[in-house]
Amino acid sequence: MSERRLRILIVEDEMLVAMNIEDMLLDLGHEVAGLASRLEPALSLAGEAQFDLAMLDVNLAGQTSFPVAEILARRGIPFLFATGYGIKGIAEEYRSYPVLQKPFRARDLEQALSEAVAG
Amino acid sequence: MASSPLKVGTNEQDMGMSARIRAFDWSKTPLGPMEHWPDELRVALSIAEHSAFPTAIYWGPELRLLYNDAWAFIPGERHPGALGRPGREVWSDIWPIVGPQFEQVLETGRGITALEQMLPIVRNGAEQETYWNYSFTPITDPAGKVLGVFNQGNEITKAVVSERRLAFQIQVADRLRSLARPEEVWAAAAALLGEYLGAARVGFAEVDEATDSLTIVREWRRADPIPALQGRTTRLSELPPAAVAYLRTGEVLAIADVDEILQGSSEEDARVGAKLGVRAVVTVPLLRDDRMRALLYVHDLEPRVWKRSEAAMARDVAERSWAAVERAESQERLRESEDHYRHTVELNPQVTWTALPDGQLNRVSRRWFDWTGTTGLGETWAEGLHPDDREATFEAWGHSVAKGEPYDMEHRVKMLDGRYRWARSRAFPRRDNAGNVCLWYGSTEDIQEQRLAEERQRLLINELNHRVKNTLATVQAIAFQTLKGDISLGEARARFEARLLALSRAHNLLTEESWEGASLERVIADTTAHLAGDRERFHVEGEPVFLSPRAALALSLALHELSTNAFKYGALSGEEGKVLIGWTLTDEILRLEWKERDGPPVAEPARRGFGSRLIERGLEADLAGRAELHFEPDGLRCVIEASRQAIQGREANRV
Repeated sequence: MSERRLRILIVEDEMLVAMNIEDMLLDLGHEVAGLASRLEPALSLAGEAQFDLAMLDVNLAGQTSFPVAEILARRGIPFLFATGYGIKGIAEEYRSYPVLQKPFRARDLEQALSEAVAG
Repeated sequence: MASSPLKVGTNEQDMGMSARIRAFDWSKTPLGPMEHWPDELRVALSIAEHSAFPTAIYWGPELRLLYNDAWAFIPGERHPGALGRPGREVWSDIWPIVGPQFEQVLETGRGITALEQMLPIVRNGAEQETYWNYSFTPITDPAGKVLGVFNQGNEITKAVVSERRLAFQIQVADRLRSLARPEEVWAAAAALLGEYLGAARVGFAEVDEATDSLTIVREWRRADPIPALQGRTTRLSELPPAAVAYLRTGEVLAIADVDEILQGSSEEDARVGAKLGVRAVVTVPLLRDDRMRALLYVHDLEPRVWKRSEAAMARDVAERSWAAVERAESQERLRESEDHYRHTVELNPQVTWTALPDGQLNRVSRRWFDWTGTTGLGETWAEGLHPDDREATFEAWGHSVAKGEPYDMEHRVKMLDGRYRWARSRAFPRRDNAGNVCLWYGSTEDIQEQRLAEERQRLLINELNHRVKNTLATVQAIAFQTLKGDISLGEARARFEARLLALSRAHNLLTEESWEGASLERVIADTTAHLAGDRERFHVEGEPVFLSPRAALALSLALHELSTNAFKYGALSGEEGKVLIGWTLTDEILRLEWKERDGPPVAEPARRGFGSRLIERGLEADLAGRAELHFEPDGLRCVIEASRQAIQGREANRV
């Protein structure tokens, strides 16, 4: 169980999956700070919105979410990846961040969130 | 001087010619007693007697014969009876030749010299071809009248014959050298030997002791009617065993008279001999590694005493032919092998090459030239490689050359058109008996297509994995959302299955288009068809739009929810209701409207279910637009607005 209630940004281009993640996070006692399904809105949210942690899908309608990760890293906001590609789909410099292989269980999500927060 | 009868006795046999001449009773000849001989004869005789060179004097009109010791060997068995007799009688066998020569000297009074003169002298009852150098010198009186002929000469038969043999051998060698095929060699050698020996039939047979067979491969025949043996095959074991056993020793078998030999031999042997139809035979066996491999035969129709030199010549020709045939065969094999190599190399899609033990290329097949426009020799091989690949290539090749280990390297080759293609080069060392590398055999193969295919396959597999994982995540979400809330297990199962099927149909549709997208019309048709047996209840109108796979999937699931809802609670739950689906396209936006009509009255639901949520929230994300549900009293209205750029598939982009 998470020790604290996190405000989380979801970057995910599959509506059903996003909805599911949302439900999982709510069930885990967290709050959804925002949802972006495209790179452009994701970049602006990552740069401006207030949240504790971000979950990033890697492939956003054909574009990678690594620019988003770059902004987050600069801002010092923890994040994790959730992707169908697995670790091999992650750019070299971000492989130290937690990676969730889709599909994943609520338990896996919880663990990854802890890891991400712990840095 | 007592005249004595010329009966042969021991003493007489040993007598020198001077004694014989003095013992001879000349008074009974036209020469008369010696004491009355003219000075000319006396002087000539004195010179003859003192000469170590064969010398004879033919005296008087009858050319009566006198000769010295050296000359005594010339007439063979005619000596000593030739003394004092007329030349014509002594030399009846060669008189047609020498008679005219004597006459010429007698008439003209001038001497003559005959060089390499052939004289067919009869010796031991047989005529022999003999060769001579001799001179006839007239002996004249003071008035110039020819009294006799002074003759000096010697036999040069041996020299002439050996010279001829040599000439023949040279001819055979020259002829055989120019021939490239074994059959030509056999044929030419048989003809040459046949002509030289004046034989009736000369041929070569190949012998295979393993299969007990003897095959006549080539034969020469004189014009005389004599049966041909060429092409015939017989069993070695059918030949007279004694003859075969003798031939196996490698010796030449010469038979002067077959009939004589066969007298008293077995009936079987006689039958074989008769079958040959000849009387004289020379057979030369050709052995290799103690096995009889071939035979040369010389046949004559009449009995013939074969001279040693003739048998020797037959053997000589046989050996020369065999050597020439072996050379021709090995050349043929070499040619075949070279031809094979050339075809292998030229028709091979790979570049084949060889390199010296130090790694230097010494042969590169033409294909390299076809690829790069250079020979591949010297520096041009390295220049044909991509600059980034050269160092690694040199290193790998250097390592292989140093260690004598197989070489295997992939690198890019610059083609004539300037483009690079991936190639794989491999080489293996050939070693000599001492284990040292004597040559490298290498090949370079174009693997560009293979590389591209491998790359495509790798991408495909990654993509497949990604899609499967994403689809599973979607399925997970559907299951999660379906099972949520207050719902019976049976209902949940039915809804879950229906949603999975909707997803599956959308996948089918996309697969048909190779996952490049799907037309909106097809998405609608596929989603609604299974629900309304009567297509009339759906009124679909709109211009063609090609959707991206994501948009197609999202709309499929959304339309599935709308249809299911309409069928259960909305317009399609009654008999009369219908659904109007229409859309319009602007430069920016696709606006799609779903409107239900003539169904039961509609009221806003107390609680939004999965379907509503999926439509309102999900489409927003997937279509980069918005979706609104209006629960109008005469029927549900759903308005979907999507960014045209976000939803359009590749086909639309192509248009």
